[in-house]
Amino acid sequence: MNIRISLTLSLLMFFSLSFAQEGENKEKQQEEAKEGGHINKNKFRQLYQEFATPNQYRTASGAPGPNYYQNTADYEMDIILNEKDNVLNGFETITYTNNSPESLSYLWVQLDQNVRKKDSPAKKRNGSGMAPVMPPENFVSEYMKDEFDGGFNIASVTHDDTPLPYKINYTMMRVELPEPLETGDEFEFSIKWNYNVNNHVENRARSGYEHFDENDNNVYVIAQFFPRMAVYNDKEGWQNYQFWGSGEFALPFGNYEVNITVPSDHVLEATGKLQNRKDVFSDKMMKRYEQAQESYNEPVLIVNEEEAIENEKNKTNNTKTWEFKAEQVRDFAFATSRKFVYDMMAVDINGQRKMAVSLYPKEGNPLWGEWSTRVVASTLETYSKHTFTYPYHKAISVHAKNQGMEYPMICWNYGRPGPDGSYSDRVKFGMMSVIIHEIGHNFFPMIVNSDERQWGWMDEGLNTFAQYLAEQEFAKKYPEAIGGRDKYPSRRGEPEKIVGYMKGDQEYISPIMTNPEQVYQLGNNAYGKPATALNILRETVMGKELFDYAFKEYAQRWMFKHPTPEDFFRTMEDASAVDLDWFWRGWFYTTDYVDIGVKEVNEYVVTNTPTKEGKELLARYGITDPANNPRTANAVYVKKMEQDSTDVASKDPLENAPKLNEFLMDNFSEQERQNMEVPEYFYEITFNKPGGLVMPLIVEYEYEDGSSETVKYPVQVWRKNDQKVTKTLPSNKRIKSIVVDPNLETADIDKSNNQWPAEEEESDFDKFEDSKED
Amino acid sequence: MLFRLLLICLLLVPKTQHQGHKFYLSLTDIVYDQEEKRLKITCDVFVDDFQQLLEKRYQKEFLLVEGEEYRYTKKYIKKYLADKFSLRLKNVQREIKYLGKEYRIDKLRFYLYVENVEPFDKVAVTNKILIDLFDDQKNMVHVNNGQKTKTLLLEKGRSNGVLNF
Repeated sequence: MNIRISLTLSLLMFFSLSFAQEGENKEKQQEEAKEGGHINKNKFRQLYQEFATPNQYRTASGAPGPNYYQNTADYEMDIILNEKDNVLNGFETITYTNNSPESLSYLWVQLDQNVRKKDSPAKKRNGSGMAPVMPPENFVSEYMKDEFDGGFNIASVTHDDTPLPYKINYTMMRVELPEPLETGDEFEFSIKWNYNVNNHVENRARSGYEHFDENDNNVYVIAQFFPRMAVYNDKEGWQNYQFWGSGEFALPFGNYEVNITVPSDHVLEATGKLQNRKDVFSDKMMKRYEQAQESYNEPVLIVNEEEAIENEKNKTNNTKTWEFKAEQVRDFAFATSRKFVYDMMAVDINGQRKMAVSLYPKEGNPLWGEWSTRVVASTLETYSKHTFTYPYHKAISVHAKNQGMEYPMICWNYGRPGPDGSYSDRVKFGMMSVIIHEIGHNFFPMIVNSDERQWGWMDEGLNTFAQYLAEQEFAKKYPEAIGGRDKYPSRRGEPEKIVGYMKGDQEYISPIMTNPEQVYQLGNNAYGKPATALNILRETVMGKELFDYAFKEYAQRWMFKHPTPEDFFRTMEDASAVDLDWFWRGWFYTTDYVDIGVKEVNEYVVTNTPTKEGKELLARYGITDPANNPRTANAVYVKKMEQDSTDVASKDPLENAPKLNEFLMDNFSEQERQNMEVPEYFYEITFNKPGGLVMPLIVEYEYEDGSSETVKYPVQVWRKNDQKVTKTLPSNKRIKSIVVDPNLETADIDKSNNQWPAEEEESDFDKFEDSKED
Repeated sequence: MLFRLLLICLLLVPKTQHQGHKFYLSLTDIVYDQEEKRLKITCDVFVDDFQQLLEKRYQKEFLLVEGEEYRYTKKYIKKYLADKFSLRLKNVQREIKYLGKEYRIDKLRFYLYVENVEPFDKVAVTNKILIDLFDDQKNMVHVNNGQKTKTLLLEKGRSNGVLNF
């Protein structure tokens, strides 16, 4: 359509839109007395009230500011696992460097294991019911038996062999400094500790051991096992919010030197570079390790299943010490057992060789041998593409029952076949998904080091979003893994999957911007909803190219730093020029939901005969006889068609409005007119929005001839009226149906109002019942 | 018999405290169809959790995989749901009938219904599904009485609730 005819059309649109607005305003004026004033409640207003003021530490662009600082904690540790008694002993020396502009008079150290102390308040934080009757065994264990005590025993806290005063407040320990620690200074102190390692299967913990009755063996996955420095920063001061169990960790970066002593028949992996591989690997393992470094397609077994089976049959009293060094990590974890099968494969990430590694007891096979290491490698590739080149030299996936937990370079993952080695698709996809997720956590929060204790969604949400991308790409790389499906069956990410949560009772949902300890449904709050929001942002709001650039910019700006939510929100806008305040406000700061519908559709034809509404409108501008007024003699009017009427619509619009034809003849050449299409139908479509969230309005128009087109009106259509918007549409084909959000891109919670003509949607229940009867 | 069941149920309550990454949630949708005078119910649980539950509770092998289930699976599922999920309308406990189930990726959906239901503005729901296995299991129940939707969040120690419309 060329420019001039669109001018004519816009005249028409002007008329029809004006009708609607004029009518409304009048009604309003009559009904209401003069209202008082109000503050700006527009959904598109900027987030000045919610966001912290930018400063020298964190800029308005979302980047670290010129005075951004972070403190560091370096550790030297000697760890001894007493396998017989399941006790872990440690001696650690922490060097804490104060880069903040303030002087510190004490330090806070985190004692996460105290969550399993006998008298831990975490055990009492939930309500509980009283069973009216109990079997005696239960009564004994509930009320009489000694509880497992898994808290830290702190033997000493010293500086230069002199005891330092300290105070333990549940999971936090305040260490008094002999003199304030000034800017730029470092302080070295040592802690001697031990604790009873818990059975993580019985006790459902992130760390501990799983016991196998056969040959009486344990698989240890050990984490948050040592007193760790808390974070001090410009946002929180000391982040010493207690560890209650749901909110995970806030940790400073540092360098680690760790010696771990375990039985000499154990196979062990940990965060960091192994320093004495030749001492702890057999010759055979060394040779295979060298092969693995050159194997980019197939994992190489360092310890195979037969060797692992042989290994677990006997126990030795000898020990071996494994020495690790890790740089720029925020934590340290390790896994050790004589049951481990051990494989590795090299993966090329932007020209750098990284090792994808797996450790699993034979109970994980054949599933683990087939997929774990390949999933690790593929995950590093996808995440590196969307963020930065994976900076560490390896990533390890360890099989531990019921676990899904992440640490730098190493993580624990579930997914166990049956005793006969068979496994269902569900177990397989569950295992692949959790490996992708936990390996992905290397990027968020191990490297982009957000504060999990305060904002669970910052790592879980971003990571679950990236997990979706990695799952879809993994399936493209390994089509055999999804066996005939057209795509990887991701649990989360697709908008439709969050509808059940978002339409729920407001009493039980919280804004994403809520501390993890205070939400009702952590899985939806911290993982599902933010991941879906980002997916919608990428695919429907910003477009992949703009989103991907900005997301990568965020990851690179905050790599090895501590970002806050505002740093993320601001960077996404700063790098894309897409105003997103409305999106962050709606999706992250409220529990509003999407519900957009098509409310009313009017069909019009054009005519030169002045209509009643047209005359009324012109009268307001002083034109009382429009047909004879030279300014409006040629005006084109739109006339509403009665529903179901076909007679007028079937006529040529030029016949109805001969002056339009004369206007065209006088103003356009024959050739120009040839290229013009004069629309036969005009529609005035009113879309309403019962939901609080504003979203782009995606509409599919289907025409009588069977063709269809999808139009995306920008989100700004809602900027002046949050309840409804009217659109005028010229068309030379009659519209058969209109569907809002035809591809289910927006997580619209009520689809019963998405169609015109209204069609009753069959419920899942009815569909299921019908299919049963067929 | 009932007492025996209760005993088994209590014996199996694990003394655990949730620390892990996983979360435990079921979602039940109850919708009143006035024309059919029926309550139409869908109930979604995580398959893994439910399989674990059946194994522990009934001390038998279960394989909740489409087409590969043991023959007795349906019997135990029906029994479990009947024991753990109930509705009271006008102070009368109503029979919940089992229509079938459906595998949905990592979730299992049960289809249930109650017949001959007159319009109501009050309903009492008990949903103890999976609470016997997981201390921090949460069961969300949406009820639509034909006019309004209201929600209950049920959990251990608070596994029943009343909705007034």
